[in-house]
Order: sequence, then structure tokens, then C-alpha cells
Amino acid sequence: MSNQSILRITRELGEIQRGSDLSLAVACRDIDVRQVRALIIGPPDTPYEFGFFEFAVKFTKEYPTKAPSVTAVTTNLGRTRFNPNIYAAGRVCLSILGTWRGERGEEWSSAQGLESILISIQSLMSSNPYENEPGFEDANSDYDKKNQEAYVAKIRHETLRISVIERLEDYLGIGQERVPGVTVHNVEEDYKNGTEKLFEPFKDLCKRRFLWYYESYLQSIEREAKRHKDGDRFEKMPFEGPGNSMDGTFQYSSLKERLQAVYEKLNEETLSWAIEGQTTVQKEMSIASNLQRQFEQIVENYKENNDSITLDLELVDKNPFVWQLVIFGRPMTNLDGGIFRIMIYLSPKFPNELPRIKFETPIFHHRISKNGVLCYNPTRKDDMKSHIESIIEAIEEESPAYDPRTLVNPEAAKLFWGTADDKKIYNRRLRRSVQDSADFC
Amino acid sequence: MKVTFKSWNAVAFWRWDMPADDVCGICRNPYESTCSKCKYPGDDCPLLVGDCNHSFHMHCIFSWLRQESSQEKCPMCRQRMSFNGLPRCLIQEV
Ligand SMILES: [Zn+2]
Ligand SMILES: [Zn+2]
Ligand SMILES: [Zn+2]
Repeated sequence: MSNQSILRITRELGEIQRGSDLSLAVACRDIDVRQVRALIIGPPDTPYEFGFFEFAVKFTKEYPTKAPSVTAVTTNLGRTRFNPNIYAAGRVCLSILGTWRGERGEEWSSAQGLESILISIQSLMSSNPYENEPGFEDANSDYDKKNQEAYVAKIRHETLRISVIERLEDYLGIGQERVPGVTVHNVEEDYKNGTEKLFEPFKDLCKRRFLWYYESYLQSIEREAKRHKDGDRFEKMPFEGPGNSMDGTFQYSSLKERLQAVYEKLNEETLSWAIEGQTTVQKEMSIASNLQRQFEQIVENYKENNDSITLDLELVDKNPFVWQLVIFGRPMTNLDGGIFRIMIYLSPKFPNELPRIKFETPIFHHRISKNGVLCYNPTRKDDMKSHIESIIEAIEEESPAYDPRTLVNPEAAKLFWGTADDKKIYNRRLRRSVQDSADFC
Repeated sequence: MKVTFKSWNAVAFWRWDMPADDVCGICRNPYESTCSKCKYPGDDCPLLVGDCNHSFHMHCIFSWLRQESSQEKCPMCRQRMSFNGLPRCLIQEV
């Protein structure tokens, strides 16, 4: 009997993990698939934009007949209510979970599942969450409008501070005077085994995404800093009560410094992989020979298929943890005539930690940040050939499906997805950077 | 040349009259295979088609309808579940 729920959960986890939705991630500990962690990347164009919100999902043996229970764990140690429906204590009020008086047809049924729950939570994270509170749906007085703005303003600040910066500081060991695990709270199994290490399945994912969204975070901080002086108190909302609110002050100057410190530390970490990697080579560990072999096979493969794209792949200092890829732009495309030097840094923990890609050659491209970080999504994470194919695909694709979660270069993306005239400007700037690339190399 | 059959094994292939890639909305297994409780597809684990046209493994839909919280509604479209006009209490469980 108990098997049924496990089979269905396993199937659902696999589908979400294999899927291409960049806004969700799920993981479970090997010993218990009924204890699931989920990560929601805050939807773009909302105050939750690119925040990392984690939830603990607990399934019983009666799943899917009965809904699982869901607890928010990104709550600043139980101190911050991120949404009218997501309480500081972790409670998630949602009709599909039976924790909220729902409209007819919104209740749980056995045809619902983990993904539909996560999508419902995502829809709570809207551009105007003030309306989620019952009685405030159509609130439109001047008083309400002022409140709506003030609510959005403090959520944006706390999203950046708690869900992004403190999470990354925790991961990187910055500011250790704080209690560790400040972003992950309320998880019963972690309480029970207090000595055991926290279950942190999204560490590498959040680090990679931080690098993708760094420019957006920075722009957002700079824009908001003009509106909210350091030390200004957050407004209290009429529906916020004692122990279940979002209190604090705006501190954008310090957030900017902390954001930049995280970014630098991450880059240091990337570079440290090369040195750690060399050690694994000397110790003849299997990860070193695995990467060496993958490298040789890829080089061999591209030599044989000389009809495909022209590229050049080398190890830097014979280190299998640092690859240099040079791509020659394919004739008759936007990249024609370009030469791009790309560094691929590999972790000794590959593939649990995925490679970090950096364009050394400057290029104006909607998938590449100003600092050269490439946003790409490999289909097979443990296979470097798949990584290289996905890198090429990401820079060559000319009419991709719109996905705001690939926003790594806000300026280029705005033109790329803008009007026909914007697109012309985009193409012109891309072509110019492609022409310049040949001189750069 | 003369060939004599000494014995033979019949091999048959069957499938539900459904698109092959469709899955049961409750267990998410393909209609072609069984629900998660059963071992052998076919008559041991039949499909039921509701009057709303949603279909499920019989075992899956009955374990849902047995729950009070289901209010005897289809888990997909939430219409009252009936089979050929009969509510489920008149359908005999195999
Ligand atoms: Zn089924
Ligand atoms: Zn069955
Ligand atoms: Zn139905």
C-alpha cells in the first residue's frame, strides 16, 4: 500500500527534475522520498524577483488521496512573513492544501500534484501581494494604494537581503557571527538530528543563479536606494500582527556592499577549483581522470566531424579542471567572423557542482552578462559534451522561446525582446561586438 | 518436407482503446500498465471511464471516491462522478 505514494512521488520528482522549467527545483534525501525540498525562484517583475524561496514538502502514505503538508523555510528564522499567505512561522495558506478557505474547484484532488502546488505558491508571489489578503482584494482607496507600494518596497528589500544575500553568505561562510542556517528554518527533520548537517540540496543551483542574476540584483538595489533612505522603517500593513509580520529598516547601502562581496567570493571560489583540481590530479583521484578522458573524447569527436562548428578546445596548464574553448562564429549567422575565448572552470565535485562558464571575449548578447557569465542549461549534467553543445546552442539560437528566467543581461534582453526597432539595435550591437572580437583575440 | 507441431504457445497483444502516451491522472502510470497496486494489466486492473469522459484505473478512482473529502467528484473536472448515469455506490467493486 505504502508503495503507491512513493512510486508517484518518485515519478513526479523525476519529471520536474528532467523538465526545463527554470523557476522550480526539487530534491529529496535518498533515505526518504516523502521528505521533499522545493525551491521557487521568485517570478520576474514582482518584488520577489529572482529570490530563492525554499519549502519543505511532506507527503504521507495517503498521498495522492490526501494533500502533502507544505512549510516555508525561507522565513529569516521564523521572523519574517513574506506574503499575506506565507506566514513567518512557515504556514502556507493555500486552498489546494486545505489550509485556506477556497473557491469551489480549488480544493485538493488526487489529480493534483507537487508541481501544481508549487505553481499555486508561485502565483501568490505576485506584483501586488497586498491583494491576497481577504478583504483587501479590491482595496483601492488612497490609503490602500500607499500601503500597496510600501508593501512591495519592503518585500523587495527583504527578498534581496534574506532570500538572496544571506543565503549566499551562509553558503560561502561570510559573516559567521550570524547564526548559520538563517535562511532555512522550521524543518522538523533538521531539528531532530541537530548534530547532522543541514540538508542543502540547492547550494550549487543558487550560486549559479546568483551569477546569472547579479546584474539584475545590482540594478534593483541602485534603483531602490534612491527611493528609500538607509534607516527608514518598514511600514506596518493592516493585516500584519505580532510575531507574524515583516519588520525592519531599509539598508540598501549595506546590501550593495554585501552583494558585491558575495560576487567576489564566488569568483574566488571558481578560481580555487583549479588549485584543488591539481591536487586531485596528483592524488590520481577518479574525478581527475574522468574529466581528462571526457576532454580527450570531445577533442577527438570534433576533429572527426569537421563539417560541424569550428572550435578549439585546450586544457590550461594541462589542468583537466580548467578548459579553454575558442569558438569561431558560424558563417552566415550573426556570429560570422567572430572569435570567442571562453573559460570553463570545473569543480572537483563535478557534476554535483556544475561548471562555471566565463566569456573572456566581450560580447553583447542577451544570454551573456556584462561580466561574461553565460546562462545555459545542459541537458545531461554529468556529460561535458552536452555542456559544450548547450553552450554553443545558447549563443547561436536566434529565436528562442521567451523565458524571463534567462535574464542575465538586462540591457541586451530588453532590446532582444523589445519592438522590431529594438531588435534591430540589438542585432547591430551584437554584430559590432562580434567584429571587435577578432581584434580582441 | 512435413512439419508436425508438437506444441504451440499463443501470443496475443492487447491495448486499451486510448492514446498510448496517456497516463492515469491519479497514479500517473500509463493506462496501458497497471495502477501502482497491481502487477498485471488488463482485466485485473481495468479502466473506468466516467460520464465526464475522464478515465482512471478502477483501483485509483475508487480509492479516491472512498474518501469523504472527494465528495464523490471527479478529481480532474470536479463534476459529480457517475458511470453510465449510475453513481459509484451502484457499481460493484471487483
Ligand atoms: Zn491509476
Ligand atoms: Zn490496479
Ligand atoms: Zn472528469
